[in-house]
Amino acid sequence: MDYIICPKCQGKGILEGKICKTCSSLGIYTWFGGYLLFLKKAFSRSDTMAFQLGSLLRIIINILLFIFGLWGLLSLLKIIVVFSGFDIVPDFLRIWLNQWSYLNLDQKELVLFFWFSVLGDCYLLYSIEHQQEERQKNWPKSIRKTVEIPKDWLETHRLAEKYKIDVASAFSRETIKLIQKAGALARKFKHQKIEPIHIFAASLEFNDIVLAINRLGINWKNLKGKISRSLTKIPAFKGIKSISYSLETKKVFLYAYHLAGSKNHLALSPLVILESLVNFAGPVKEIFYDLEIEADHIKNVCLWSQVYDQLIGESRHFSKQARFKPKGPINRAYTAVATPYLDTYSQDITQLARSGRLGICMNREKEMKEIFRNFEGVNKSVILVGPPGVGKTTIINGLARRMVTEEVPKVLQDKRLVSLNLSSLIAGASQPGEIEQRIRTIMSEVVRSGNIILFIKDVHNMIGVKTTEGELDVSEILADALKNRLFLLLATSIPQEYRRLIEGQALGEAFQKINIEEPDKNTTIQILELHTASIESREKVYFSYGALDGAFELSTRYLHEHFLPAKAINLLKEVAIAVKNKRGQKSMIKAEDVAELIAEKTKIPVTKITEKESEKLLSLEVQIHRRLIDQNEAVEMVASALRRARTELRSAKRPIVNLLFLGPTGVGKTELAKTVAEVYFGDEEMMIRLDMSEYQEKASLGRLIGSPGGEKGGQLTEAVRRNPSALLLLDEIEKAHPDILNIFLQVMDDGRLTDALGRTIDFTNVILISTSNAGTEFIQDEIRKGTPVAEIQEILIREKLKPYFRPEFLNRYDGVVVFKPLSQDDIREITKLFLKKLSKQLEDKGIILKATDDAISEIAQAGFDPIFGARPLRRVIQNQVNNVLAKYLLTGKLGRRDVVILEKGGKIRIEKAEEL
Amino acid sequence: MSLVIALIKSIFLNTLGSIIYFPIWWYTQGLKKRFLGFTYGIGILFHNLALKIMFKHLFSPMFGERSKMGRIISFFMRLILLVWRFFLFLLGTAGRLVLLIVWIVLPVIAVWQIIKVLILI
Repeated sequence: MDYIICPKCQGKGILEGKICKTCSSLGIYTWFGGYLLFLKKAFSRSDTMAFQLGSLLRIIINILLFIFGLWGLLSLLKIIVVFSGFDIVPDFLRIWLNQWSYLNLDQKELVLFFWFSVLGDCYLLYSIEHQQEERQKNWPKSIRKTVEIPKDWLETHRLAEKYKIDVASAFSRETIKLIQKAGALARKFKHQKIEPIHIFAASLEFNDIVLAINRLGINWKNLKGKISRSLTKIPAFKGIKSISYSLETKKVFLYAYHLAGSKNHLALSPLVILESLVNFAGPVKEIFYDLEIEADHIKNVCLWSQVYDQLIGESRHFSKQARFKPKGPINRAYTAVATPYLDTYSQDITQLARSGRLGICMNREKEMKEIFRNFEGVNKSVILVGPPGVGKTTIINGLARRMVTEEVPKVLQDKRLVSLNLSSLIAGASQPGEIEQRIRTIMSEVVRSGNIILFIKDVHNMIGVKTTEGELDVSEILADALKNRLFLLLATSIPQEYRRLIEGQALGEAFQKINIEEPDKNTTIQILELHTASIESREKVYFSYGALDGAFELSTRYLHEHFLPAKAINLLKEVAIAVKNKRGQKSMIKAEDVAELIAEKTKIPVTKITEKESEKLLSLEVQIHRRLIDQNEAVEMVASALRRARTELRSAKRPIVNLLFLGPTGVGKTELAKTVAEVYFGDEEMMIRLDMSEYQEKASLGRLIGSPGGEKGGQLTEAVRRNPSALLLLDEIEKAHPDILNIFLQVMDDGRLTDALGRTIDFTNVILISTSNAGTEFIQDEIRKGTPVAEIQEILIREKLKPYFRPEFLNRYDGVVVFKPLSQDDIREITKLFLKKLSKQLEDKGIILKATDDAISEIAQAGFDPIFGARPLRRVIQNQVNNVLAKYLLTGKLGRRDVVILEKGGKIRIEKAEEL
Repeated sequence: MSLVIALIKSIFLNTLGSIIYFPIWWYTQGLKKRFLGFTYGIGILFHNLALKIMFKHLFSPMFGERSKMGRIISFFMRLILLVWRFFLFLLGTAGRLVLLIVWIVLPVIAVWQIIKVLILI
């Protein structure tokens, strides 16, 4: 929005302590609809009192006039009943009228009062209507399009006064109170000007604003604290006589007028002022920014309050108009023909809409216009193509409602929208040619009737339905009729099925395709606001704006299988029930509640990080080392990646982290992957493990992502689709075919992969870890030589891995981690870990396991193998300990409360517990 | 004290201005609104009675009866409907016209009656 600011006083309105002569203290102008806007009236105490007293007086006068009017009517009744001498009037009425002492006047006086009361009634009517007109007068009557906008202050003088509007004249009663309170606040703090922060502080006493702040989930104490700190920062002056608006405040009000005007409001309410306040840099915006509230949030919350009024207005308008829509199948021109056969296989949606059983469709103006444009212009049948849940049926319902109120192009006026039920069309058809006969009869009725627009939901289900003779596809019969433009058809389908079955076919050619996309953020939020009304009244809980915003953000990010707005609406319905069950009725649903539900559904930690979790994240290395010995570099790299992911400091369009683990077998590569799955996803089973040695052939690509034309997805894509948040472990990656590695280039870079069925699978919540034994010998040799790991890593990437991986493939990894071969000491530590695990298993049986240091060293010695790492160790423990204990358990030598001690020389001693 | 006087003055002047403006408004803005309401009402009535549609389809067969007899019956049936609806339309228009006339003459009659009674008293 552009402003014209007084060049002399720079918008302050005051120059050297006096009123600026150039602008007469107006300071600033702006434009709306070809009219010049300014803010002048300051609403001093006397102004406000005069306004309030004037309003009160007007109400009193109106009440008196109403009573006077009633008295006039009674006077007229008495003249007719008592003085005209009608015999038919019952006596009790005459007696009743005579009882009224103030009607005990003679006929002339009664006539006089009656006519006075008539004048009074006229005045009452005038008073009410004139007041409404006065309110409307504050807004441009029509937009002046051919107006040259003045470039500077001087040019504004040339404009006629009737094109200048003081926005103060449009203030609602509450806004006037708000200004007065803001002025009082400025006076209290000895401030010279009313700043936006005063306006904001004063606005917090108004119901609409209180509701908006509550919806935003703001802590009142916190907010008030911030406001009072902001107020104390403004310099105070002594002996202030008059207070005026600051330039920023003027801008806020001028913009608020703009907002209210563009929404066709008749008064400038505190809610619009709040919406305007956050659009200007300054303390108010800063406070909201600090509270994680953005201008868009405020805008949507303000719309939320208005959505209920809009709903009421819309339903009133609808029921008024719906009365004139014929109830039956016959149109207003009586030209339609009854369609008894069609009626058995269909449902009249316009009749459903007429009886108010279809929901309101809002924010779908663009799609609706496209449908109308198509019917009007091309006169071709229309197919709405969009994923399930984007609102195709809602649009159809909205169209039916519009057909009821006749707010549609001529081609749709006086028509009915009839939905053909495919299942009942096919059901029970056993005779040869029966389906064909049915569809032909239906179409003939539709054509003959002339007032039917046919609707077929999920029209792709019709393809492949053969007539019982098995020769003709039902859709072909339909396509023929549509090509001849015998009637208009409205259909819906989903993109995959449309591409697979309709596009390029006879039926596809008969349709004009309209794509229905997922709505954008603001539209989705507004749709959600519309739906919260029914959820709130049903579940008796309240939604904060954060919950709506969270439902949009989190469902967009984590629920890829479903589409907006349906998935967000369903999420809100679920969370409402969950919160009601957890915290009871009248609870406020916050963003955290939605996040909790998403975390529960997807197993991804999306809730805010608690203090306990912060501690856990900071000590990730320690936790990992509880399961993994040494490999510090690898552990550190993984831990840092997890911390980045949890604090949202990673790219949301790539996997959480892509890592390549290199090293000899048995050094803990897989163990680290399992540990990561347990730490980040809460369970080591949250791992998709693919042995890449099974994908050595190019042909195995089909197994990975599915075969074209097939009905199943691939092993990789299906697993990630079903479990989008997991650890993806690609074992022995070097053994995969190079073409298969190319597939992972896209996964690692874009975080998505399209399977053979055309579905895009999301990999952005996956931790991708590849393991490889490539360059093992080199690693072992270099470690033995004492070469630093960083150097080994460098040589590996530059030279040794080249025969296995292309440079662009290696480049996609966030880290290439070299696992060192295990030393004798490492093996000893690992032995302790293994025995600890075994000890836990025995604990469940009530048996205590102990091992002497010598025994541990002996086992470690026996299990140490520089080539196979820790793998032989597992076998040694299995043979020397597990097998013996199993025998003891079976023979009953070992029982509850016994102590097993591993000793030197592979001996196992049992200390029997005392008999009880 | 001066504030109170200023207040009373402002309210008194406003009320007085409002009373003076009343007859002017009645025969300008008010009358214009009533006239626009009258024409709008007639338009709605015309639409709701589907007069235009009925007239346009006067010779169209009703309910798809395209036979000769069907056409003849349709024509006469439509004619009866049209005449009846036109009568309803006239009735509605007359009612609305009466209301418009009442708007114009009511204050005049009231003032005239008041003067008449006052003279008689």
